[in-house]
Amino acid sequence: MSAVLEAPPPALDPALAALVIRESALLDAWKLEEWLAMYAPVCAYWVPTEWDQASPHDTVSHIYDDRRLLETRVRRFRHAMFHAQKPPSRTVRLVTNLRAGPVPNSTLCSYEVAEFRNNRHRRYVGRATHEFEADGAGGWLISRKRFDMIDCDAVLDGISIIL
Amino acid sequence: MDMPLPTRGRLDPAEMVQEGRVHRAAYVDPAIFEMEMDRIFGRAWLYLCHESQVATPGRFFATQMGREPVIVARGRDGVIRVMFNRCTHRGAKLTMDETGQAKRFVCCYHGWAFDLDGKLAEVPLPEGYGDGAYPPEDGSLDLVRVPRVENYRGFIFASLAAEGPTLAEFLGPVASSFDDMVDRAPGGLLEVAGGVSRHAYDGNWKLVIENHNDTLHPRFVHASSVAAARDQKDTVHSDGAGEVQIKQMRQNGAPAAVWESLGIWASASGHSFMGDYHTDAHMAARPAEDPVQMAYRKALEETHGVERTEEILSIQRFNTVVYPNLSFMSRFRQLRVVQPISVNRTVVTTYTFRMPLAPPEMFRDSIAFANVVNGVGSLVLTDDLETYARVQDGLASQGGDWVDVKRGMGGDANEANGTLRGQTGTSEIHLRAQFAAWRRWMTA
Ligand code: FES
Ligand SMILES: [Fe+2]
Repeated sequence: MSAVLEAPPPALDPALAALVIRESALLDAWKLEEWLAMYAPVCAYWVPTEWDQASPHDTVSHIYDDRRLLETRVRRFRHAMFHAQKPPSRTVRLVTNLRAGPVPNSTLCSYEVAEFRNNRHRRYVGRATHEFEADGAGGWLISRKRFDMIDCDAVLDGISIIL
Repeated sequence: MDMPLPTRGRLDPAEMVQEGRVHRAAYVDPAIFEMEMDRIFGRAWLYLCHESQVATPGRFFATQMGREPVIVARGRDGVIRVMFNRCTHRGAKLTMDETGQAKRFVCCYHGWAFDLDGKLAEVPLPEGYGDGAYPPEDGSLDLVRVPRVENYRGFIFASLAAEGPTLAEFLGPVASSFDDMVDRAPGGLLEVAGGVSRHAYDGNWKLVIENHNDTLHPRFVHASSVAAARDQKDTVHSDGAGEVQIKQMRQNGAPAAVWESLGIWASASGHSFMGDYHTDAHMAARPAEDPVQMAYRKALEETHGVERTEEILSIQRFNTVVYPNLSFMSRFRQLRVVQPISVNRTVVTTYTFRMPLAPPEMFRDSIAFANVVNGVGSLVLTDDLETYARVQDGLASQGGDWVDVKRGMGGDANEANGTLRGQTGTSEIHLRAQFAAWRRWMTA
C-alpha cells in the first residue's frame, strides 16, 4: 500500500479527463447514440457484483455488455414498450476526484449517479474506471468502463438506466 | 353479484380462493402475510442450499426460513444440521456472514461458544451464572435445531414443523426436475459457483413464483428486449457474453404457436414445470454440433452410456417451481430462492451451478445466461420487476376484489406421472395449483 503512495502519481491526461466528463454529460442528456459512438468497436461496459471482481466470465455481474449487447441495450431505450422506463428516469452524474487510472491510458474517478423515477430517488455510488484506446485520428475511444458500486453485493432493485 | 368479503385483516382464506379466482387480499393484506409465514413458510419444506455450499466439516451457510434466521452447518462428523441463528443466552444472532468456515459459533455479546452441531460448548466466567454447571449437561441451552432436514440428490430442504409429509411426498412428480439437473451433469457432479445475483421488488412474494412459469407474458412484458435483440447485427463484436444474452432475448420472442404447444404441468402440492421453448437452432446454450456441446455429450456418455445419455438430453424442461419459494432451470442450471420480506417487498437470490466435469466454456455460458435472466441490470428482468410492482399497486386499489386465473380452466388433464397438464402451454394451471395448495396450507 505505502509503496503505491510513495510512487510519483502519473499525470492525468486532460484529453481523457474531458472524455470522462463528456461521457457523463451525454448520459444525463439521454444522447445515447452519441454516447455509444464514444466506445470502441471492441469494448466492455461492466458493473460487477463483487468488489475487486476479477473477471466478468466466471462470476455474475449486474451488467456486463460487450459491444454487441451494448448496442442492443441502447436500442431498447427507443422502444415504446420499455416498461421499466415508464415514466423515464431523470439523472445527474457527479464525477469527482478524477485522476490517472491503474493502467496506461486510463482514468479513475469517484462516480455517483443520482436517479429520479416514478417518485423514487436512488443513488448509485462507487468508483469508475475508464480505459481508452487511440481512434487512429488523434482522438480516443473508450475501450472499457467499469463501475464498482460500494453496494455491489447488496440486494438491489432493478437498474433500468445506463450507469 | 359478488358477495363482499369481510374487511382487511379479517378475511377467511377458505373464502379467498374460489373457482378460477383469488381475492386480492392474498397479495396486499399484512395480516394474511403473517398467516402465510406461520402456516406455509412455518410448515412446508423450504429449500435452503446445495450440499456443495457446505461441502466439508465446518462449512456453514446462513439463510432464512420465512421469518426465521437459520444456520446450515456441516459438523465434524460430516452431518449437515440446521439450527436457529440465535444465541440461547439473550438472543443475539450468532453469525452475520452468509457463508464461511467455522470451528465454533461464538456469540458477540457474552462469548458463549457453540459447536458445529449446536452444542453449547463453553460459557466464559461460568461461576457467575449461579448454581449448576454451565454449560448445563442436559443440553437445554444448546442451539435450537430445525426439526426436519432432508437432502434430495444434493439439494437440502428443511421444515420448521416437526411432523408432516416427507420431502419425497412433498416434491412428488417435480422431483424429476432435480433428477434432470443432476443427470445432465457428467459424473452427477454439480457445485454452486460464480457468485450470487440478488434482486428485490416492491411486490408480494407470490408474484415472482407465479411469473416464472407464465408463458403468456414474454410477448408483452419483454417486447422491448425482443425487438432490440432482433434488430441487432451479429457482425458486431461479442466476446460470447453478449451473444448468449441476445440469443435468449430473441428466443423470448418465439411465435405464439411455440408457447401454446409447450407442456405445462402442475402437481397437487402447488408445484409446476414447463417445457422448454428453446429450439436447438436458437439455444441460449450451444447447438448440438458445437465442439463444446460435443465434448459435453462425450463426458455425459462416459457417465451414463450412449443410450441413457440420449434419453437424458431428450428431456425438454425449462423451469420448475417448488411451492412456495423455489424456482429453478434444470437445463440451464439457475436456481432462484424467493424470500418474502413483507406483504409488498420480496428478495430473490439466484445461484448458478457449475458442472466440474463438463467443458469450462459451458460455465462461461451459464454466467452470461445468469446475467440476462437474473441480473438486476438485465434487459429482460427489469421489465418483469416493473410489472410486479405495477400488479402490486393495482391490487392495492379497490377497483375490483378478484384476480382472475381462469385461462385454460376446464382443459386440465390428468397425466400418468401424477400431474395435471394444462390444455395449452399458456394455461394458468400452475396458478390454480398454487392457490389450491395455498388454501390447504392456510386453512388446515
Ligand atoms: S446473548 Fe449470546 S452470549 Fe449473551
Ligand atoms: Fe419475464
